[in-house]
Amino acid sequence: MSRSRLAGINWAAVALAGVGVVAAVESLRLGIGRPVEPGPGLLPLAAAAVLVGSCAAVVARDRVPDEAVREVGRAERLAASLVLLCAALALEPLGYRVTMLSTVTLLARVLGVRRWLVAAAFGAVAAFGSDVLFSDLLGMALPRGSWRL
Amino acid sequence: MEGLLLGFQVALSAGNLLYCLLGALLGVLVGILPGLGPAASIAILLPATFTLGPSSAIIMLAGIYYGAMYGGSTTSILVRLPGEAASVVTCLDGYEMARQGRAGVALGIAAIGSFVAGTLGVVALGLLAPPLAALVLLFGPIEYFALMLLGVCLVLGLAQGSRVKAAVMAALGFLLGLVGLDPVTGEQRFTFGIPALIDGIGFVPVAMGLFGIAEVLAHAAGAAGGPEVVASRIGRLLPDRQERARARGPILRGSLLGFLVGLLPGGGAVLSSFLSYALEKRLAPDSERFGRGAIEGVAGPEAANNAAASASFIPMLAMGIPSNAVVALMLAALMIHGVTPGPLLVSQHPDIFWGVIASMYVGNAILLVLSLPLITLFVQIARVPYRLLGPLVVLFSMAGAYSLNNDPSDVLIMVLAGVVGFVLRSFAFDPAPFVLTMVIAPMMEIALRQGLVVARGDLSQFFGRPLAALMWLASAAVLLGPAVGRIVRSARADRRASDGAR
Repeated sequence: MSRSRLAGINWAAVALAGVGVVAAVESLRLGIGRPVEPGPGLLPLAAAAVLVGSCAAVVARDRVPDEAVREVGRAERLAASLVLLCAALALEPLGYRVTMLSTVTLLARVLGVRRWLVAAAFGAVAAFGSDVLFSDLLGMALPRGSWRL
Repeated sequence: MEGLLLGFQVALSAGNLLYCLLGALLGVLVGILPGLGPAASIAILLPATFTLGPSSAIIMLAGIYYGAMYGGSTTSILVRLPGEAASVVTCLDGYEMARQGRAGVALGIAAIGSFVAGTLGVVALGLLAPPLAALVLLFGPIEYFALMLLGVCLVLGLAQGSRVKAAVMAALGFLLGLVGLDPVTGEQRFTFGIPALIDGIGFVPVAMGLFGIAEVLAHAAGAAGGPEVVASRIGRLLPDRQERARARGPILRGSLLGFLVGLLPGGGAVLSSFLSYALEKRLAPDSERFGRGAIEGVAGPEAANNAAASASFIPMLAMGIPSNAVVALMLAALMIHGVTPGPLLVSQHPDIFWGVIASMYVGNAILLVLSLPLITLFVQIARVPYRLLGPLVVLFSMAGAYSLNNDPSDVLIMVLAGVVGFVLRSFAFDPAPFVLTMVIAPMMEIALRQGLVVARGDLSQFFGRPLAALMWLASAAVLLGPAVGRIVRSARADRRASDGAR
């Protein structure tokens, strides 16, 4: 296993253990109560303890087979993640159609459509077609954005 | 019998028949399209079922599940690319059969085996679920807690890959499932002052992210272009007499094995198909044929994964405990509709209970009738490249997540769950234990706290009651069994080595 992968798994486990520590502290603040009157922090504390313990075990004895993870395409995955995060934040201010037109276009490019024109055409058909399906036919209330596009 | 008749009345009503057909066809489509498994599809389509009645919604979602089991075999056989995980093992002999010009027979026996197993599974489901539900009525909160803990232990015990990582995911799911208001005191828990978290983290957007969005991210930078279909000619679909004789035993054994494995939380279709393949290979007098186009290698696993799909409904319907991620999504769907699955479901909502069972029977028949003549069409669908499918998955997911509450924070939660889920999956953390524990965490907490109050704080009652004790023992056996086995084997090996040295 490569050094970077090992480090990556360790970082993931440490981050999750951090979540567990925060949860444990918060559980103690909420109170675990007494056996006859259990508090709201009792079960979360147990889950947090299991999380921290199992994360420690992952760091101590991680053995992920190399073939389980594909190292290729890191930039594309990062780009796809950013596109998705931007889409989630832009959905309400920009509206469904504009957000989906740009999201589908960009994702199609990231996923392998070679020409911008083809990706944009696909994005336009998908965004406007699905808007007709969801809004007009199924009556879903999709966001229209500040410019009512 | 009356129950089943009621079920057929519900399932054969025009609306439900349509939803059953729609679900089954969507499922076949999902099974055919590589990278879009039943869990992702059900998660994406959950919001669309909110406008339906609970029985129609669950009938359609169940159709997607067993339809996907049918459809998954098509791409395994023709493209050597499993449409969903349970069909991986079908690639081994199904693809070889296709290369030998027997693609039609492989597809035909997969459809027939799936139908037989699905039908047997549904009959057993109808026979077993009501008595099991009656038994569960004897359970108090202490037994219920022990039962759910056993479910979690089984999920960990049968996890794909590392158990420690499964424990990480289970604990994380548990914590996220407990976010929101405390059910007893009403105190805010893990909300950190964020109003959107007061009602808890929505299960549906998280599941959509973990299965739908994470899958798209996993495919980013994947192969351009669609998969190559090996078989230019499908050939005859029905197996001849010799092939039927060879397939009969594997189909029946696969049905039984799949049903038993499907009952276990964490078992499910994937494990059952692998076990069936291993069993058939071991039983065959000429096991060297396996991997070279043996019809038993297609018939057994295909029967097993369909039987497991039917059986996995039993713990959910009778006990309210999901046995895998797909069934967890259906449990969530029922709860969103205000229906609590469990022992009282048969008496309180017999239309839903029996309607789902009867619809599965009807759905299996529909699939057999439709799948054989439509195989050529399915081959064309299998050619849809992921570069077009992926963006559409995102589009449907985003619209679906937003429509849950008309709230963009659900979309953000879905995307974050997708990104985090993808990162964790790339380090071989399986999302299934996360989903299961996130669903049962609130139920488990209520059972534990009620149990402690009932027992007046006396913890010995949790271990002293016979049924609960049995389940604690089973949990310990599932968790510690493999480790104890390893220690015993290692001690034996040491003893043999020392005897040899003497």
